[in-house]
Amino acid sequence: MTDEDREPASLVSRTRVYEFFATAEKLSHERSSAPHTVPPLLHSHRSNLAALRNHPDLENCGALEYLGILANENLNSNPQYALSLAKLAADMSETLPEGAYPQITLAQVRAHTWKDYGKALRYLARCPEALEALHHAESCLSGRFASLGHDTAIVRFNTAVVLQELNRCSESLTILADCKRTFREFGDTRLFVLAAYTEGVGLQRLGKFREARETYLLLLSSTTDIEKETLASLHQSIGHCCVDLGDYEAAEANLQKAIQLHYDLGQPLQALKGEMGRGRLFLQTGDYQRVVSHLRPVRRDFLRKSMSEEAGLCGLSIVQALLLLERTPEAENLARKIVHEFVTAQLSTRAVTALAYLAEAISNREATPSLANEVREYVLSLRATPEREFEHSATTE
Amino acid sequence: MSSATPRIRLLSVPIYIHTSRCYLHGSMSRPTNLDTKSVRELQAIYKRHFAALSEIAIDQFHLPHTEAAALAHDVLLAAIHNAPRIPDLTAWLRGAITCAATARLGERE
Repeated sequence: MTDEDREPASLVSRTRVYEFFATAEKLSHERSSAPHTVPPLLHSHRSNLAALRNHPDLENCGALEYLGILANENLNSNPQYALSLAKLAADMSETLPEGAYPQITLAQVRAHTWKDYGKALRYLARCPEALEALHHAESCLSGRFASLGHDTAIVRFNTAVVLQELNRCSESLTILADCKRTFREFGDTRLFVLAAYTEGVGLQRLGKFREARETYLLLLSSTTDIEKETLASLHQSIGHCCVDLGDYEAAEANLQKAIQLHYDLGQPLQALKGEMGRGRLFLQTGDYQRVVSHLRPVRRDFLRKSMSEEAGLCGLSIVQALLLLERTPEAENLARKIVHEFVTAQLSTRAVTALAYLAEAISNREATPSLANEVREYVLSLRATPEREFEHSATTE
Repeated sequence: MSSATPRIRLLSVPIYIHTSRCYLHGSMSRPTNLDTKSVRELQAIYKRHFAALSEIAIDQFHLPHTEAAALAHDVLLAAIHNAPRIPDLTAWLRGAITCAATARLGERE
């Protein structure tokens, strides 16, 4: 009797079937224990998480996975702590004993811990390191296990996001197209929607506003269930695209919808960013007085939340409007305030230099409204390219 | 499950085979999750999906039986780790075996 004559089930050895159930049982046990064992350890070693590196209670997949969950939960509120957790998990995944789990499971755990580490690095704008971590995550999976297509797509999706931060949008879009296909094949609607949304963001970053808006609208009109949070981001992004495309009515409608959704979701910061978008909209429509009255309270809210950079960006739109209204002394005063806020918050020295240049130019009555916009764009760009130098294009209006 | 469903044995555990046609077109389309806490549930899932996954690899990708069985097993093993983030197990497994078998064919070419 050849293998082809036998039922597939009889071709899997008893050992491998046992391996399946043993792994399931082991992971299930580790996953239920981790929420009880991990938090006390983290609490007692909060000042030095690295000291936990060889702790026996963390030397299992369930504990490392739990560290990853905690790292993800802390990304927004405390990215530095998230990074420490993710780094601990990634380091420990490398020292898990080879025979403790099937090779496939070990590869998955390692890939996901390194993916979480890469994600935490991205939140701290350490993008080149994030890319390295994600490449390592992918190398844990690549070529050895054909069955890990979904895991690979998750890692590559994160890589695509980092590439956008590094202004490598075309590469990112190629990866995202593959990821979307994989997520669809695996019935993973949530990640499919996120990948499609990120595709739109990539197009928007490339200045392809019409294509970006099409991508967002296609997603909105699809029958796919979209989480409310993603829905809010979609409306916000459509709103921004519409501002750039001069479709002001649609911009206002989408931004308003996004703001409402963000408030419903209890995300006031995101709602404020939507309000900032509306400020840009009023600037485009020439309603400069409204820019000032609308953005002043938004800026105050950002400052109250210690978000100096966002407050500064908001302030620069106000400066631009004030210059357009020929209220130069107010513009100068505000520009100097923003410089002071950036210095106090220890933000990028390059941003401070550009802002100080603007304040001086206003003081010398040499500043044009477009200079304020140029400085705003420059400060924004420093998020992706922190080493970029400020070059004033000296345009006249 | 219909009484006409063919029945084979894996070790001492009876297995019901789903044809890949049934697997792909609807009768298992209701979203299911993988509960790794319940051994009984897990056994049922292994039994239910192993044969169907092997069959897809054999029928649609013309992989030899031994290779198809190994791939089906690997896919189920990979699903255990990913269980918390799998919204619909059937769809996930179908995607995984398709992806794995395609990759295997790619390696040969």
